[in-house]
Amino acid sequence: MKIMFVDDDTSILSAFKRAFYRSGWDIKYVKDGTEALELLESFQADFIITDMKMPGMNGAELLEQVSKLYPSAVRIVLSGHADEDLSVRASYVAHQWYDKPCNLELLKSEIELINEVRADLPYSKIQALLGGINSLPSIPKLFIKLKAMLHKQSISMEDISVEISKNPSLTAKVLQVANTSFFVTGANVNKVEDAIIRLGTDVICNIVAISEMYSNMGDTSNTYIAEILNRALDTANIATHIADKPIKDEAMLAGLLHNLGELLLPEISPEHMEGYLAKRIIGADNSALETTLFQVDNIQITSYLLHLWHFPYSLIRSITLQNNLEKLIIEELNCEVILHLAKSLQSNQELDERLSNRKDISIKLKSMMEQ
Amino acid sequence: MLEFWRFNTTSLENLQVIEGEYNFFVVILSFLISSFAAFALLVVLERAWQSQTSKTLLLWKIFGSIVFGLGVWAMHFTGMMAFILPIPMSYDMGLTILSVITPMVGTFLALGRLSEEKFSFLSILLCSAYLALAIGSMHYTGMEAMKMNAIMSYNLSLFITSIATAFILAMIAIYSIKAFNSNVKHTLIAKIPSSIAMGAAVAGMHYIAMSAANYHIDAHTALKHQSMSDSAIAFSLAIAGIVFVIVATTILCALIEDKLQQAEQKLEENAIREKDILEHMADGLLTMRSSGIVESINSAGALMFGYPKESIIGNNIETLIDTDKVKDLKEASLHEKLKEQLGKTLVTHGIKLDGSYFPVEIHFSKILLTTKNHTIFNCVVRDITERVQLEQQLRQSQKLESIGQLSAGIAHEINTPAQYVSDNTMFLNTAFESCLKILRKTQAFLDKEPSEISSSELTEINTLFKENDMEFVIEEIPLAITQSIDGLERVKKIVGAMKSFSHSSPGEMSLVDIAEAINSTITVSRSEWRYIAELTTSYTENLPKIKCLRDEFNQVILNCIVNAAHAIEAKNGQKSGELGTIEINVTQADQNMEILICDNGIGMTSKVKSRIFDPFFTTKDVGKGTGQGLSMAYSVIVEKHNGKIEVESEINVGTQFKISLPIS
Repeated sequence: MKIMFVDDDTSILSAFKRAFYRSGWDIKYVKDGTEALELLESFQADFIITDMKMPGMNGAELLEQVSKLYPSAVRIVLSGHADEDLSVRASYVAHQWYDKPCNLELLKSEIELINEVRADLPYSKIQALLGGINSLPSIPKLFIKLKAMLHKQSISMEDISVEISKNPSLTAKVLQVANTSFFVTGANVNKVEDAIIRLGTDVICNIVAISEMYSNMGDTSNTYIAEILNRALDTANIATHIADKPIKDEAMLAGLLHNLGELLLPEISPEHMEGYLAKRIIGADNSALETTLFQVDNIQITSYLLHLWHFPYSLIRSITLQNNLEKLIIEELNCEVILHLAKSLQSNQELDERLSNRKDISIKLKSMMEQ
Repeated sequence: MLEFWRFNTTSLENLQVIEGEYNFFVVILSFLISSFAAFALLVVLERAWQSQTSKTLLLWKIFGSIVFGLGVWAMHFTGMMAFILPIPMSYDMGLTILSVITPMVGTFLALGRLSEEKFSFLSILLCSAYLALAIGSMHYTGMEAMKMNAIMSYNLSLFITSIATAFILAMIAIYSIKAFNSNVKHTLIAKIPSSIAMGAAVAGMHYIAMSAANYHIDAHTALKHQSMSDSAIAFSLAIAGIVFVIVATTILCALIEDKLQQAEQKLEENAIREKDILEHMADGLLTMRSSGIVESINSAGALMFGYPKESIIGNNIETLIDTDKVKDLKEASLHEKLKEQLGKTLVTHGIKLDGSYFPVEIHFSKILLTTKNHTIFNCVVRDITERVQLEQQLRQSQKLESIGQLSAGIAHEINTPAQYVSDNTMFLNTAFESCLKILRKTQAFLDKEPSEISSSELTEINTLFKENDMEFVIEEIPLAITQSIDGLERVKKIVGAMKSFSHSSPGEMSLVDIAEAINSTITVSRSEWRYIAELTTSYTENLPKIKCLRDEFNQVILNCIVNAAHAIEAKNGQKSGELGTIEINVTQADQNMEILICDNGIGMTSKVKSRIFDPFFTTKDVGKGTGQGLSMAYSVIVEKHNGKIEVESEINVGTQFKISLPIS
């Protein structure tokens, strides 16, 4: 595994060197952005870990360059600064954000986890396949911005509604999604402010995300796209009900995004769609079928897109594990498991016994059914 | 019929009745006299109404009685002059004088009633009666003074009619006085109807009484037609003249008194108003002599100093005000230097009765009138406790604000060493474990004889060395330790600088090592300039410590550094990576400490330069500058430290701030 650390403070770099001396990773330590970009030409790093505030090119600018030039690299910020502007900018380009001082053991295990997720993702292959496609789902910029603002706790409901209202077509889309039966029960909401009041900022942010992503995908009344979207909304809704409070938001997002990759299957090879639609089983693992027809499965596409858009790897892991029973059975009742459960419930697929027999899961499902 | 006194006519039946005749001109004159006297009475009455003391009231009453009494009397004798009998006639002096007294008494009684301004029917009846009696008694007494060779008798019904006429006309006059009294405007013209009525009462009574009189003579008495002699005309004119003069004098006096009274009233009103204003103004106001003795003080002032109002008077101003705080007054006592302080505003402490101090602002001015040979000074004292507190709060909040702004940078400065110290410790932990493994192995060797050590064991150690990257470990351990120590020192320095920077000295001057203060400010603000400029300092050796407000001084230096960094950033742009320079030089020049802060930033135009010390003036974007920094710097350096702050600047070359602080 190739890793690059960028920091203008040499004390930091030498300390990292000592901390990782037995990691067995191939690590380069670089003291500024320009040097990093030069070195990246010959050193294809899997991870770029950079400080934010540096003389000359700062961390955000470096990562912007990296995301264009080396899209498959995982981009991580490790900063001692609490500079809001910079962090908002970096949230467009970084997958993870750590504050100094950061426990390097934690960073180490995080890197290993991400690496494990990436092992199932043939990035270069997907990149090649998607290269010729014009209408990719668009990057959820506003969502990322809102999330970063919410993280800094300097944002009010008004701010959010103002941000959303800046884009009228997006506003319409957000309201359309919000008014589907999955979210709003009772009277429809006609204004973003009302939607925020009824649903809360987190849900609205997620709705913004999916609205943004689908906004470039043409007509959502197209039956194929509409079915994907509705399945996503329904799954998200179920996942939200299963998940406990702390992970509700993440579970909802996982549900919303879990089948995003299916949108691109017709773009990759339209001629195989008929066969695919005939054979696929909704809610089950179709990856073998998809790989045969399209060389890649929809989960890989989704994960790749989320990687491109700097979603955290914890979310990408939920997506990649959605059908991986062997791994899920040993996980606790986390987002990964919940997504699988929600997805199965949504499509009325039988649950694997190893999961349905688990006490925590059976209790959850029972109480949910009662509701 | 009643038959007594002069009403007894039966004994006169054999006597001849003679008829008198009148000089018409003198009759008119007599009527005018009585009317003028009445007019004078009204003027006097009005004064009586306005009188505020019983003494002036009494004086006016007496005066009025005399004037009107004289008037009635003059009318009577003028009327008598106009009456010509065909026999010689003269007057008894004693009775004539007595006859002037009765109308005065009657008038006095009537005035007593009228001056009370009570116009009840009973009161009017009584007054009219007094007046009618006054007039009547005068007339009939005056008639008794006539000496002639004839017997006078009165017709009873005409006699009663004459009194009744006087009574009724007096009543009419009083009713018109009542109307005149209720009228707000007491103009002279308003008095005329009443005067005429009263004049008519006097004259009417007189002439009716005259017609009641019959004069009887012996048939032998020679009748000789008498015409009014020139001397009689002159006499009546003289009486009339005298009465006119008296009446006119009375009116004049009354008018003057009216004006005086008005002026006095106005003065009094003004005095009350001024006293009220002074009493109720929020600031303390005291007057004092040039010796510093307090002559008067308003309530606010007394309250401020905590004294009972009376006991503060007579104290010396220096027991109330801490003059040691005032620079020019340290040696001399205040009153000696008072002249120099006129028109200036002093800020010092007031001393309360209980000995506690409170901040005050004092303004002295000289009062231009001198009384009893003292020059009086005005002294306005303002309690500025609240303002001082607010200022302190503002300063504190500005300080907190700047610490808040710096905190992100300071956090970075601390987080970075925290990161590498913890990484190094983590490394030392693993490295030590590796070392321990090898040490244990080596220890095992020590227990053996050299011959017992097998080559495989040596290989084992060798492998352990390689497995554990011992070469790296040996090389890095000392570095990791030194670096960790350095890192901890850095944290210590930052925390120390923060403490020093935010050191709170609420308004108290202390001896400050300027170099140390500047260094801590540079340390806490490092993140503001480190990516923008290189900052160098130079201090002359053995700089003396100077008395200053440490935290405010730090704030000024911080503002200058941040401004310099912003100026360089504005010139170089954010991204270039090119560093500007900020130089801070501290030197001693005579009795001043000079601090130069130079940058090679964007500089400023002379227009901007001329306004930089204005509050709220800023060229920075919203959120980056409040326009308070340099105005605060000016107030701190110039006003609080008696120093100077000067600026030189050239567009695109740079800016230099020069701060001079007096050493002692």
